[in-house]
Amino acid sequence: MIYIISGYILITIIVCIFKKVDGYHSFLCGIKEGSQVVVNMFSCLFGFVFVVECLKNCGIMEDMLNLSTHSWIPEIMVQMMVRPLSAGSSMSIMMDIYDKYGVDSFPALFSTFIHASCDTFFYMLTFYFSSVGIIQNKKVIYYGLFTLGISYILITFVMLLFF
Amino acid sequence: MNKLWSSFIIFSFIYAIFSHRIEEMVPELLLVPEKTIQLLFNVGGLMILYTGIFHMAIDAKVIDKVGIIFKPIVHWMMPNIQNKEIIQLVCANITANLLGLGMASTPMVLQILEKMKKDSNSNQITKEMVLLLIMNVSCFTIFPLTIISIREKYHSNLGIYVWLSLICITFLTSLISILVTKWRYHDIHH
Repeated sequence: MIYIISGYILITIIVCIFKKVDGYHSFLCGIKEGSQVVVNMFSCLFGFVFVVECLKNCGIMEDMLNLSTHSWIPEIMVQMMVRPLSAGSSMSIMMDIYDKYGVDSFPALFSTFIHASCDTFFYMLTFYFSSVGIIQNKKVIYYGLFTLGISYILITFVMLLFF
Repeated sequence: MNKLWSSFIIFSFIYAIFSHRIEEMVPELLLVPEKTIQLLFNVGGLMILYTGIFHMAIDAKVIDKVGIIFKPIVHWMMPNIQNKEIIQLVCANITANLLGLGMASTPMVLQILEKMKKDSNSNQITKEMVLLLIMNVSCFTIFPLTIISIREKYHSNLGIYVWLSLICITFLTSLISILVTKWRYHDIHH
């Protein structure tokens, strides 16, 4: 896997040199754009971490853990609900699960799949369309939910069948 | 969003009061800024790095070269779009999704939406925009770079079976949802 990352970086830089593009300058431009996106994300992330911490520490999670047979089910459910809203909070849940159960355990793989195979639908819908200034209609939400539903069903199916 | 957020917080406070955990809860809440910044450094830093490299790839026209493969798909998906610039950008967006860099393509999607809005001369949502959104949500991935690098931080790699099933899941999701959207979605004309 290290080779994929290093290959991607090296190929980009070598092509930059061959085409005589100012790679350093465009790298910095990209960093600037990326950090703006991250700074915009910060407020969303803060709100989310706050809610997640509230829910985590009020004890309802522990009570649910005592009720259910598999201890990771509530966490996966929360991640499934959170994933279409914000990428950062889904990633924080994923890292929690990694720390708790180990990187290669069943729940960790489950949450990796959830994180990798869908994207922040509601965030996109509100942020993209409001910043460009497009009126949305209700039908779009149904199609997005349909997509999310399909991917969740497929993930559960694959996880239960193969791992 | 507001209602959900506030009701969750009120609910958890009431639950904490009734289950006598409020004394442990409040000190934990005061650690939220610290945790958020930690998360931002972990996740946001990676994202910024990939955005930077991706920007370099765009400037070196690597992405355009790779994106040409997807031109027929884009033509089939959005037959109404004739503007060459939009098609090129959509191809680049597909390439970003293939590399698992959905976040890095945020400025690109905004650019595409702006151009589409200019072409359609109205502020109503069109079928092409919905298709673009669905394509980004179901993100068909071949090399999930972000996930790979997070797992690399935990000293573990992506097993070959996990990788293959990830490709299958995202491919099937994208195929089904794009087909359904293409056949079932119709614009509302005013």
